[in-house]
Amino acid sequence: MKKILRALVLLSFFTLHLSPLMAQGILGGHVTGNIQLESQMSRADSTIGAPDVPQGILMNARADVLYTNGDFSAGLRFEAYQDPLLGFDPQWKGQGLAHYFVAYNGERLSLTAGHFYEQFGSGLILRTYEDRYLGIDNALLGFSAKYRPIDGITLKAVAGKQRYFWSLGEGLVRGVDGEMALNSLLPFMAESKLRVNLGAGFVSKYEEDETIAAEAAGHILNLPLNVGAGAFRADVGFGGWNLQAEYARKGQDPSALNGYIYRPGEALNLNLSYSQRGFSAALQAKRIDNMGFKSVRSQTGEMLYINYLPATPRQHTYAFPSMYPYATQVNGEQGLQADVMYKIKKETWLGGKYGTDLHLNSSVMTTLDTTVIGGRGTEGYTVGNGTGDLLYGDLSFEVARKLSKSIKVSATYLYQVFNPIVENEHGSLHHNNAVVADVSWKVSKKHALRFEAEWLGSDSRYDPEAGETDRRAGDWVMGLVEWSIGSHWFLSASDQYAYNDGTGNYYNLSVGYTRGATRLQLGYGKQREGMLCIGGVCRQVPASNGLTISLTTSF
Amino acid sequence: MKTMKKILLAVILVFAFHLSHFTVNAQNAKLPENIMLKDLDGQSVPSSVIQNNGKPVIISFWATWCKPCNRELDAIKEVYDEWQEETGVKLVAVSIDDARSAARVRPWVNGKDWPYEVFLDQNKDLAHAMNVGADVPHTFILNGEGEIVWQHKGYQDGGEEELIEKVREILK
Amino acid sequence: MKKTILLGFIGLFCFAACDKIEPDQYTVATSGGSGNGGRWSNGGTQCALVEKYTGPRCVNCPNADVTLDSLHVQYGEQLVVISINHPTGQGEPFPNQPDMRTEAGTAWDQYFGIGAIPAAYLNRNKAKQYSGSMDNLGSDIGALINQDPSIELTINADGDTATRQIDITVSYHIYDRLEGDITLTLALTEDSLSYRQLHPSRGIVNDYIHNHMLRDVITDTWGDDIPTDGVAGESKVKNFTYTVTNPDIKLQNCHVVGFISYKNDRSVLNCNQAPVVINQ
Repeated sequence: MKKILRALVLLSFFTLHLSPLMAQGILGGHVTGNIQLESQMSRADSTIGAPDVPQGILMNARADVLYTNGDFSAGLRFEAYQDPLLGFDPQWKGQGLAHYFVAYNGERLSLTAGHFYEQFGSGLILRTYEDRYLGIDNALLGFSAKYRPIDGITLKAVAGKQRYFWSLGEGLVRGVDGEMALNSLLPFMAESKLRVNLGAGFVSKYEEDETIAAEAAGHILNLPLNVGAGAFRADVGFGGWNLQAEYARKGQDPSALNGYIYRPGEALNLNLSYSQRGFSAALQAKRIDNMGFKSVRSQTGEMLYINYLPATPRQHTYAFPSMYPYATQVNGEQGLQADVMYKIKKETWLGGKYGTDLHLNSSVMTTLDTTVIGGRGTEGYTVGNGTGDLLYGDLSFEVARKLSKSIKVSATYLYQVFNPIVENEHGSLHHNNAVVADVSWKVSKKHALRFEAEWLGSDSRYDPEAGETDRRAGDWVMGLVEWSIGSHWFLSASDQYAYNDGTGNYYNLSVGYTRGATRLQLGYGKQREGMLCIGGVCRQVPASNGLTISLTTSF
Repeated sequence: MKTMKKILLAVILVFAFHLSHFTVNAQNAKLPENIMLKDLDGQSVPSSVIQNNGKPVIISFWATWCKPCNRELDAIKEVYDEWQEETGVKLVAVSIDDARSAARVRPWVNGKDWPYEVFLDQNKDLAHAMNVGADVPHTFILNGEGEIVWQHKGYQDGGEEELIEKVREILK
Repeated sequence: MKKTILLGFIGLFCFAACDKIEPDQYTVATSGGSGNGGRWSNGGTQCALVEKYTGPRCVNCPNADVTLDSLHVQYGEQLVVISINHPTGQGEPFPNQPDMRTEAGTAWDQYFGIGAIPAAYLNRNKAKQYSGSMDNLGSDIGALINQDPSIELTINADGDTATRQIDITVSYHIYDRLEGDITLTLALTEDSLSYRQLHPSRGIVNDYIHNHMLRDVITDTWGDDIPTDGVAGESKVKNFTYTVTNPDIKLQNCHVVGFISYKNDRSVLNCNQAPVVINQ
């Protein structure tokens, strides 16, 4: 409790000290910001795998303060993790000024000194970002410049070191990127239906030498101190058609992530889509080969990534379809995703009075067809033309329809195959079927109810004796009721229950209050690890059993 | 590197100190002008293109994977014609989808048949500048002068009623 | 024109900032560790005992192996490693794979209260646990082995593959007054064991090479008492005979690791190891 009070005092110091300035003009300038506080009181619960929390109360808190005056801005972020919430790396423990910068944002030129987030293209070679719910902050501390010499050309240059919890990673990251929009540059293309944007970037990392033993006895690795990565990209549109392509290559980068092999890295991402009013189809193809790129070679885990390699399959949002989320295999994966959306017109027999939305999505991911040729201090492996082993596959179909002015229903079916190696576990494939029904009913102008029923059938069985310790295994049912009153209050109650050969009964009650940009939410119950969407907000949560408090505000 | 950190910190502290001596001049924060966004054609455009010729603008930060965001934008779509007729308001939807789903924003918007102006803020530059935390939807109302006069986090069924009420209020 | 400038800029940057290493240069031979002791005797030198807890289902354990192999290059024979298979969870063997769990290893594991692996302890200092990529372990070893030892030990191990008997001679010499009763622990470790391991970059590796694996403890789990007056200058010799009963153990791949520790807090004073020399 003391810890919370201390953090609150510090937070209020920040806000009170600045309160006369808050959202007020100072010579035309403004101070704005946001504060977020997440607190958790959790009891040990061996059935769901919630650990003991000897500290009693856990809390993550942060306050961002931003000053802007015309083209000039400066920002600070105070963070406190006393102690970090369940699921966060214990190295987050601590508090202090975690992020600060000064920036000039002109019409043609912008400069930032301090911490910044930047992205080249889709991030295959560089993307620094933060995700507070996942406990990731890869911000670069250094300098960044963006320059638009003429309309249609953007140049970027960055240099700095990355944040590593409460310190900095040793590796120095430098990068340049250029992008051009042909429709702005070439007069004859100005009115063209064909839209072409091209870009290229290059990133280099420097790190001091260190002693790493090779697998061959009596040998150590001859490490490259500079590791480079480059990427080319194109975004081409024609009418309803759109093609986005990006290819990246990385030089020799022996690291803990790839097992200290010297094979260069490679990544290709293709997105083709066609859309028109009420219809869209998209096809994505992706291939990653040894593309994990960190600023410190000995680091594993989620911190210090220079680049960003998101998962290809669709991110499902309902509880059971998102129970087994796919995670990118940075050392090698390939896959496809197809997505089709169609709106059946209203006032037709199939479409009904208001129209019906159909959404079909499918993806498949496999490993690369690799042949290992050695370990540390070798080329690592070669890649053949085969498909490798299945990592993940899913097929989902969703129908949504408005029945009357006040009632909306949707139904989702999902089939999924999940290989536990995706989560670094060894085991047989899980085959899952999930069904979701979702009904929202606007009872009156002020009151609305939402009901959700979900079912998951799986061929996996929770059986610790036989070595199957995955608590998600088994067959599940779930029910949820959500009641919202105006746009201020909501109440929700839900329960997830593994009725067949599984473990856990996850009940949950929550109440929330929102006023403008301030939101307070209290929850009590058991939380399964995964994506949670309640009362209008989605977030990632770890396993816990007890009370959670969440407060966010922007000013 | 250490000295650099110290210098930066000093600059910021001195700056903050000076701030507290300036006179207070009540005024709402404006929409940031020079933050670069991408339009649905993949072209870079500055945030200053978000304007409505002296009429109010609703900015809604959303993402394809966010159910409440989609419910909100679907709900507004059904009353959007009436809203525009009555108040002249324009809705601008800013997607914070990252590389995982950014390529799907354009087909998504077309498939949903949303009548809004849509921009992509993949690096969350505008979201950071407007203090949108990690949670979407986050909705702002700008008055005719581009000043942020109201904001709201989250969406609950029926929440669009409050939104248009606020727009009507600022028009009074 | 602008495009050319842009590409030229990027090309120049690339040229200036990529290191390319030819395949025959990936690794370089090293002259061995900087340890200043003799090959199988540490004549007056302090050695460091690292007990590393590992398991076949532990995906990050191979990272700890890289760290320790690299420290071996740095510190040579002055670094002695025992790999102990964690008894439960990620330590559990895969079906139809060798079970490396031992009674003594489990007792040690419980003594340290090992929860998550990889984990390591240096000279049984309970206050300092190393995990993950074992940050600070290297510098702590460096500081330790530069100290003057209070005691040193030398081990000889002769094995006979026919009788599967190992004759062990341990001689120890006290340099400095000791402040309590001491025990000698002898352990048998085996190198070049190939079995299935979860690997962070390669998934499931069926022929992962495990080294320094604890196979048995020759003395009592917590060591045999060694009578001593505890005064400087004292030297003694102790003989052991041990028969390897587990038929899977290859004598020629084994080391005998010995360490002397205080009886009360079990902290290690010094250690050493010797390969089992096969007499033909």
